[in-house]
Amino acid sequence: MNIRKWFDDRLGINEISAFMTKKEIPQHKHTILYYTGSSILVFFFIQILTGILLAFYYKPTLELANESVAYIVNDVPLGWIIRSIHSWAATFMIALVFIHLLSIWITKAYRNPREMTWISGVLLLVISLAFGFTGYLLPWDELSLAATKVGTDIPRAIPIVGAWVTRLLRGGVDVTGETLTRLFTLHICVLPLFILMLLALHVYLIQKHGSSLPLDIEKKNISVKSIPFWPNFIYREAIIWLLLLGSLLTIAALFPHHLGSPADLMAPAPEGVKPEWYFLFLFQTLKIFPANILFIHGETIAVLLIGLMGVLFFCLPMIDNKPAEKKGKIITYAAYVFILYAVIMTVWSLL
Amino acid sequence: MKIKHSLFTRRRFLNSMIGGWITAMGAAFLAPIAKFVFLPNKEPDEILLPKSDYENMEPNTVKLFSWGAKPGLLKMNDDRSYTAFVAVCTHLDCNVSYLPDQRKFFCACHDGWYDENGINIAGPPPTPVRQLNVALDGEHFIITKNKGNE
Amino acid sequence: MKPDFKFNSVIFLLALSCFLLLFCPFIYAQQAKPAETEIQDMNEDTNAAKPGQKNIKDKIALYVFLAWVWIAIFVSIYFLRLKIIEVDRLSGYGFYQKLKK
Repeated sequence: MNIRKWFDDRLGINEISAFMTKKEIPQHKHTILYYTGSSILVFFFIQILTGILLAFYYKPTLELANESVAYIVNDVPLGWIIRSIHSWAATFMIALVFIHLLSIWITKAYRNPREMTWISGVLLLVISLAFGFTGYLLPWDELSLAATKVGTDIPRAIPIVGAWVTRLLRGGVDVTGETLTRLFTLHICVLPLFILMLLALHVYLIQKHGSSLPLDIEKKNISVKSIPFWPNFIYREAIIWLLLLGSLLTIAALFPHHLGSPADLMAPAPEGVKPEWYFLFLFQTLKIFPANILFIHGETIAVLLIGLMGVLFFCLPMIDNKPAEKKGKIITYAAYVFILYAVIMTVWSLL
Repeated sequence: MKIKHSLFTRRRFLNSMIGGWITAMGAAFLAPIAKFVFLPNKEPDEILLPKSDYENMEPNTVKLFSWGAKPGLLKMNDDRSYTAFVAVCTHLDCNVSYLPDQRKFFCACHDGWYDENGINIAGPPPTPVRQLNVALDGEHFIITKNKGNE
Repeated sequence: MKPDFKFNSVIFLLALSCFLLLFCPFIYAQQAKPAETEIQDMNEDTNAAKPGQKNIKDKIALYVFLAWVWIAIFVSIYFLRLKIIEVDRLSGYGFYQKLKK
């Protein structure tokens, strides 16, 4: 009785392995960008693993949150490195998500028929940022409390629904212990459900449509050399994963994340309040708007503008319906403008 | 001694090397995670109880103290000596109580009975209740592990 | 026999950049630390948890561990490179297509 055959008769595994041997990855000068996707997955799995381990000892209440994190860092064997890996892997993962997104944007990989892949990808970006935001509050120290107060205050600037969104996020009008429990539930239960569903869709669509060719190479109409995904490309990817994991481990071990003392809801905001680095450019954008433009709050206009940019971004494949022509080139330059803007704003916010 | 054919192919050798290496790396990776997940044993080696808290005990009564995360019972015997027990049933870890009128320890979970010295006499418990050593030292009771019944 | 694209140089550059990325800021931070931390400590919370190693023995143990990690990674990359060469060669011969039939 062949075990492999037993499973295959019931699960159809041979179909999957047959597909994997047929799947091919084109080789051209932008091939290196194909590695970004699976690298994100690697860091995501690390987050799941370290997150579960941390959740063994973390206590999500106002009284015990900071204390339990201090317990993990000081008393649990190797707790400090697990926590450090969890916080640094978040940075690595979001950095890779941005690189992945920019590479898709610039190579226009969202062209027909890959629009849904792009849409699911943008939603994945939003959820990844939401993970970062919700996770940031959990240690409940002064800096994270202040950052959460500011962050959950921003939706209030949206007309009509803003106040409701803020109340939904905060579990009340103000940031309290309820906010902590609520964001914890989002972080370990709701967001993982959404991201897993979207990931399934995203990965399925990639298998369905295959790897896209950059526009300039497709235009030349030459047949591009390909290597099989399994095992050739996977082994190459494994090298990249190993290097990334080594970097993560080294940085996490040498620069462990700081933990402040427990947050005091009544204390004034500490100096140097700022969100995580991936929000800094948005943070600075909000800061540069004046308090009032004509009769409208500056913040409302800023939030609406950012919202508009978000919607345009979401619909990018539909907007870029003529990628080979001038409109397409402008959209590619828009990517570079965005990079420049984000970098300048981030650096400015740190000064 | 020369052999005509090699014992295994280059391919198989390479695959075994890689497989063994990956296993070694996997074990090295899992070991710290196991350390994290399985916290070291939290039972104390010795605790000190202030005498004042346990001064006015009557013979054939018990008083509760904390033995790490487990309950402990300090019993004053008829001859005014003290015995300390880890008040946990040896069957399935429920907490036991002392019934002075019957002179027995009783576990309510599955009807387990121990006599006044902790020896199991009825019900499912397989072994006696764990005893701890008691020593008096001026201001304190010193409760330590009994090496024999760890 | 070697992999098609500029395998060696890409991997070398990646490894070198990872190495530089990690150790240079660390070295810089070591130099910048003494003056800043004293002022910071006054404002710093004494209740805060200070992760990491407290004494030089633990620090050295950590560096030794990290050295082992990187040695393990480079050995793994060496094995993977051998595997890639083999697998590229075999797929060039159509070895895997034959298996399917």
